[in-house]
Amino acid sequence: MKQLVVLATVLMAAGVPSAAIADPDVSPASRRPSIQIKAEKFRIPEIGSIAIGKNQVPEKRPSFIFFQCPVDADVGNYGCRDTPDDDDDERDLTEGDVLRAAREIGLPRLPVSIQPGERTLVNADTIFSTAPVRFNHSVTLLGFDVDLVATPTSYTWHHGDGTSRSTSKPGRPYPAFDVTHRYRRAADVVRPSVDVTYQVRYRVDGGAWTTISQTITAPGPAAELEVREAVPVLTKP
Amino acid sequence: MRFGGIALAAVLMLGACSGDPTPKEPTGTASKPTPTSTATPPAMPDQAKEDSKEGAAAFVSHWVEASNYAAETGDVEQLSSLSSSGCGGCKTYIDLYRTTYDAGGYFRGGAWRTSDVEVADAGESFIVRVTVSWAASKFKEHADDSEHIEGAGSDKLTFEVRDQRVIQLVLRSAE
Repeated sequence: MKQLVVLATVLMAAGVPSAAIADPDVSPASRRPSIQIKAEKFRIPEIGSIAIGKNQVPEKRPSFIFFQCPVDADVGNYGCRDTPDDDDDERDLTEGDVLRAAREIGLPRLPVSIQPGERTLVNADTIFSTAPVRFNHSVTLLGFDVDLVATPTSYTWHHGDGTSRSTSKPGRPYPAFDVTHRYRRAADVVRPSVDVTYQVRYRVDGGAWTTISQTITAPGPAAELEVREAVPVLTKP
Repeated sequence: MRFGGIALAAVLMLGACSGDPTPKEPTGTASKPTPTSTATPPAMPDQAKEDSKEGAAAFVSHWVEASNYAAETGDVEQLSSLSSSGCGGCKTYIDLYRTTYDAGGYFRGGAWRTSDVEVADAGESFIVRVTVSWAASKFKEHADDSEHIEGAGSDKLTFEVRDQRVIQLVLRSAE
């Protein structure tokens, strides 16, 4: 009998919402959850499917791991962010994977062409140019067929005298003067080279092309050039 | 929408007054009432049927839409079917909408919008935390009530979802 009384008391305590303090300005018909369901208590779900080991003491309050679910209003699609240490085999291809693959294949390193040739003169225009190469590759990454295309977007010319300059064009040989440099002093040998910066585009399984925002720079091999000083010499006829 | 109805009625009246002796039957397309956004209960998106965190998140959004529909119409049938009988928070809202409309009251505007959705897998069920926010709205508790104005606001809610039913609905602070 005593037990019954105790049970009844517990039931009353659990079932009867604590009397809400009446706010004279707020109608009880308001939809506001803080008015309507303020007395609702949360019952912690029992974790039925998670086995507890023999020696483990079941936790009083299981902790749940919440994942944020961004909402795309148009697609109605939720992507609840998953655990970072997911199985590698099942993870999606990332831009990082494609960039790494492009680096491993190796983007073309371009030799620099110099005019007038192996020798040039101080304070005269020396012409630099290079010949861009097409880069199309198909590789398999994490089970996906990936097509890669790299396009040069800028060229950085290292003149070999400590100066450098960037252009968006690969330069053209003489008689064009697209990319030129004037050496200020003579040198037995300078080693000019050109670094090519590529923009990489890729597509997965023949889908739409994606441009990777990060670029890859391929340093070109150095050429050798002698810079001479022109000295006027008077000769007797 | 109501203006559309008035315009349509005006056109029909003009047609009747144009001197044509034979009363014109409105053609099928013209007589069809334009469905308003609240005329039919919101359809459940396929994603809401999935047994996954994403599915639970989509389901809670659907429940909120069903609740908005019930608040605007007093038709609680769909909301009831999406709520388990043991869900006290759900019952509170179902009863609120039903009794308000039965007494000649109403809710106008102030539909809930969900944001900041978070989902945890609880084994047999999913726990979904969500922020609901609403714009200012008007309501009457019953026919003789003066119209109340409810300001815009937001609350953080926690849902427990199992087999396409809400089994718990509480304020986040009660979790």
